[in-house]
Amino acid sequence: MKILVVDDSKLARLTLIKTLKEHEPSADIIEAENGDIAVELYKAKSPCVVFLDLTMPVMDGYEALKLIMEINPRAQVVVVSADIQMQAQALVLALGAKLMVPKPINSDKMLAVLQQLVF
Amino acid sequence: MTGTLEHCNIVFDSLENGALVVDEECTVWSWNKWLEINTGIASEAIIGSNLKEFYPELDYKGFQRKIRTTLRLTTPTFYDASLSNRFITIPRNKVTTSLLTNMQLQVTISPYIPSLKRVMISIHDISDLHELKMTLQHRMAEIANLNSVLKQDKQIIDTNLMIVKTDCGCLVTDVTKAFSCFFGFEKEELTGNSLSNLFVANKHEAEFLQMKEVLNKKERWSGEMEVLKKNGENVWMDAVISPHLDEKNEVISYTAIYHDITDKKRIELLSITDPLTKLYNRQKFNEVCEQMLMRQHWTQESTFGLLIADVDHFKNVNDTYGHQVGDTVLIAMADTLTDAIRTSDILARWGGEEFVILLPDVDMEKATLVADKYRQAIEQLNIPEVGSITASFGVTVFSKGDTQETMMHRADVGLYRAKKNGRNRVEFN
Amino acid sequence: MQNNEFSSDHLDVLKELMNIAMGNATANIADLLQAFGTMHIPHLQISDVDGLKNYIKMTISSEDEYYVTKQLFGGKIGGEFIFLVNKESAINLGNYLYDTVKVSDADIMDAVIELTNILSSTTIGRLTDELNTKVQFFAPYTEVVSGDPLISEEETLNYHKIIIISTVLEFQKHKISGQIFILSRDEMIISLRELIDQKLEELYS
Repeated sequence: MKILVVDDSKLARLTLIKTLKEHEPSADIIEAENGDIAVELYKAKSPCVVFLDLTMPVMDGYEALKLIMEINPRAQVVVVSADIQMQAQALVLALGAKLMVPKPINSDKMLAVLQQLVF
Repeated sequence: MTGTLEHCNIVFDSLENGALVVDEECTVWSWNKWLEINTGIASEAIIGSNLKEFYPELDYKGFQRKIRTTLRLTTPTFYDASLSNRFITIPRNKVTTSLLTNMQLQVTISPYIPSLKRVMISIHDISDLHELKMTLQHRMAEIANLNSVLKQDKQIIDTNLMIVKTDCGCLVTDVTKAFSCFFGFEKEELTGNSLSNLFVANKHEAEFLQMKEVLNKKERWSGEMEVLKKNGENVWMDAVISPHLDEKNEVISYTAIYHDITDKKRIELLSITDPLTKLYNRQKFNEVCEQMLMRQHWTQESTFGLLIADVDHFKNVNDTYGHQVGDTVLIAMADTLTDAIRTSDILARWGGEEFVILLPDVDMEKATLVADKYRQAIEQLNIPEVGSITASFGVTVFSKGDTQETMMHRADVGLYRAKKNGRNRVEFN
Repeated sequence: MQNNEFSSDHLDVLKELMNIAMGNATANIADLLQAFGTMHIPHLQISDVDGLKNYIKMTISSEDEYYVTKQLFGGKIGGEFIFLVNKESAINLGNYLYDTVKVSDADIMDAVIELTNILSSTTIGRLTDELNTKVQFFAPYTEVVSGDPLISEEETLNYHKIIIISTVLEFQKHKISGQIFILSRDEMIISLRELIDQKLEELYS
């Protein structure tokens, strides 16, 4: 099971991967540090889930989300962001994100997310 | 619970600042002693009532928003204390100044019992601080105002007055725009350079040396000086140079203020110059002669002489070669004498082919000797077309009781005798 | 390595925590302003006084007039929270909070203070929460300055090392945007590093 983790912060990726592995030890993790790389990796590797941050340099999460949804309208994208405004959530859901989880991610939040995804 | 509340009230009352507890609706739940004393409102009267009844003028929309923020974020919120007071008005008792008649308050709204939506408001009197700030701001405004006037003045000075500042070694540190424009220099060319190197026409002139001497004595010098522009043009400056001294009486810097007097000098020069020979004219000679006569220190050994020189056979030159050649002879004569005379001698054209010279610090013998030297110089002349010329000299020296007329008369008689005795000679009388 | 030096990991942690803290702050301000705030990537820098001056020069225009609110906070880590809004933003904020089109100077000042209150308590509050520590806030003070004089010579003369955490608050709907600076110095940077080390240990365990 391929999972793409996109965040400009190494720490944020690390935390996310750590909590993810607690529940899915066999997951095959691919990392990207901005939206641009994420879109390229999505095209090349077609991961089944994408964890996506919003505020990133080069290409932000909104833009990457749009492009990923264009590549695969059935893509499963989970936005993990510090932006906890209702409007931000509404926006990413409208763009096609499956879920939006506020940062920082923890084990409980990760479990709740994984339960809602299709593998 | 009652015990805790009572304890709270004791704590509140012992505070050196105001403390009240209100809920989201602005109902007052506590009002400490400081507030009782300073507002004149008893706690019994206000507790249980709404703050709006006592202070209807407050902006309750903002106040309640702050209370809500405090409760929601469980963090203190504040009123801005930098401008006018925005919370309740508390009169101030200071009499010696009327800057603030009401207290300037620093108000902090802190979460108190969030479950009951109650906050504690603590009030600090920061009037003294605020007063100081107001005074400071007032002073700062005054200074800013003065500075702008100063800046304006500086600009006027910069564009209109020629001023040079130098360090103690006379190297230029700053010049005004007016100065650099007038002299045709860039400011950068001037700074760090010695001013005298740049534009003083003759550094060995008496005037310049005298200036140096005065400045060396750390005194202010003023006078006229002839200087050069960058393009080589000669100009006359009226200058005032002042040294600035430190507390140890050492020169820190000099300021020189210049004023262009070239036009004035030109007119002055015209009025004292003979247009043909560029020598002093008769009028200037009379003036200098008067000054010479006024000096009291002449003795028999050291007096001053007066000499009249007349070109021999000048009428013939004019008749033979014409007036233009005649003029050439006069100019040649003038130039020769200018070169021959001593630095302290005063040479002028008296009129026609007659020249006069004042000879300071001579006696009878020396005057005759000097005159003969001049005669020889003329004898050496070789003028195109005309060839050599000669001149006759009448010489006299000052003795007590002399006037210009008596001296001129004696010299004239001498000249007459020289002519009569065969020309090209000096006769003392 | 000096004990107050930050590795790229330290900076990354702090940047991510600041990002989370700003998320909180933006959401709170969004509540107050009934609008959506655009989030920006925080900037982190450890420098000397000149570095701070250069950074400020880079981020703010010297021609504009600014409302500057400075608020001190103290505790295991302490420092200065600075919120800078240009005059136009401040007037827009005052107009919005006081529900008027012609807001008074005093109202603007108070509106700016109010916004700063929420900003500082939520960002610093969240930041320190994540680092398992607590801080106390002191009364803020607002002044209007134009251009450069954000820091004066004597104010910073004795600081050797300054940590700058900076980001932008932006609410396009109301045309309100401001610059946040969190500054801490010398021994506070050591404390901060210790707290981040603890956080890192917690994460890598």
